[in-house]
Amino acid sequence: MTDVQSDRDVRDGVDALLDRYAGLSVRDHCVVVFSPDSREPAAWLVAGLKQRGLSAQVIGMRPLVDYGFAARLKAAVPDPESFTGRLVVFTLERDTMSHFAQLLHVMQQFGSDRCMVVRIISASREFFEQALKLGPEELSARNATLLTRLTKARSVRVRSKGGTDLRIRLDAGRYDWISNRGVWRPGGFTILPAGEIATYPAGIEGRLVADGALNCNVITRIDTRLGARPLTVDIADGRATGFSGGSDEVRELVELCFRQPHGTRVGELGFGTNSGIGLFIPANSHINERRVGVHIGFGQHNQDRAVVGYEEKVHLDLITDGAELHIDDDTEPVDLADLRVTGAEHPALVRDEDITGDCCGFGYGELTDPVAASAIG
Amino acid sequence: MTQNTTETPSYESLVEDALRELSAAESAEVLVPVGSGDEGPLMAWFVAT
Repeated sequence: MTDVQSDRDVRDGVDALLDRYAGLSVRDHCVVVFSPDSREPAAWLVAGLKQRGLSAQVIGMRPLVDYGFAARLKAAVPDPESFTGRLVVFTLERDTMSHFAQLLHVMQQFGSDRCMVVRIISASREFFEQALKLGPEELSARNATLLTRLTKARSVRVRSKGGTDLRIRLDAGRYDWISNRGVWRPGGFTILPAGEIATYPAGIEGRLVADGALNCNVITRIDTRLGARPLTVDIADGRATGFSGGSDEVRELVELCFRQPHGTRVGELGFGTNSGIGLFIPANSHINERRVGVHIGFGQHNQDRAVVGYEEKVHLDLITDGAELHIDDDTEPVDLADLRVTGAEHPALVRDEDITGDCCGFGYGELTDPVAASAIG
Repeated sequence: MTQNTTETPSYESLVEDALRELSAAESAEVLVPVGSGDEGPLMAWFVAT
């Protein structure tokens, strides 16, 4: 791909973000919050706003801890009575999703029905080039197609060309399904990149061959792609029992994750639904999770603490390159890469993805070997 | 008589302007690097990641 074409793709992504996802009008007031690692993606966004004749206030922020952020944010928010549109806040970060409490406070102060907060993680060239090719309506329709069947199913067998073969029990009455589709709702944050459904498996066993990528909630610069060296993980009774494959640096990370107190437990069954994402990217990124395929999240789970009692800080997603679902052992599989959208309405009882705290800034140095640490202590 | 013409700035020039504006918004406090084991959160709860 030439640079010219690449720049065109970035601009198409900016247009999609502003028009399809945010639905901006000239009456809206925009604030762009960015961390230094996302300066260039933020510039593409600000340029898109200026091209539309929309002004935006920009706020720099330090990821994770920034004691001056609340004051800077407050100063950038206008009096709700001074204009008739919405307050639209874009936040862009590469590895993290920071300052939840401060942003929630602004939303509540301003009025949640007139405030949209778009939270972008994995802010990058690839985010604009690939992750926004499908809009929220298309992603919502794709998620609805799958959820309509899966929320009623008792089991699903997941297979992939790479060799994955997992038998999974489902229980939608007990475990929430979550849908990430880039759709705004009052009082919620819009999390991007979008395109995923997920739940907690009531039971899971078999073999996972992760030949797509991994995504872990630590800050790491390793190449996360697994296409050249897939990771094979055997799973029994909801836990990883062993793994093989992967590069040396990938194995090191996986070993550290699995050594955490609940690191081998399967905490998430997820399906990427964003067919606009063509390639896995080297970065430790949510873009890879949204690509079509299955991902099994080890460690931290995605349910209410009252439903799944254990707590784990680390979450390691291992992602396949595509997958077929045999729902309730249906002989006709659903191919995630060739999903036939039914037009079903999105189920109302499914939780929209949201955050209730800061995310993903776990320093790699904090990910210690607990056995070694206890020996030192 | 002179005729005033206004040229629409290109997207590329708007990006350059935006980069300068964004850099100006980065205080020294903001630019302190996030280190390994920084004061980071305990992962809170990021559903379905």
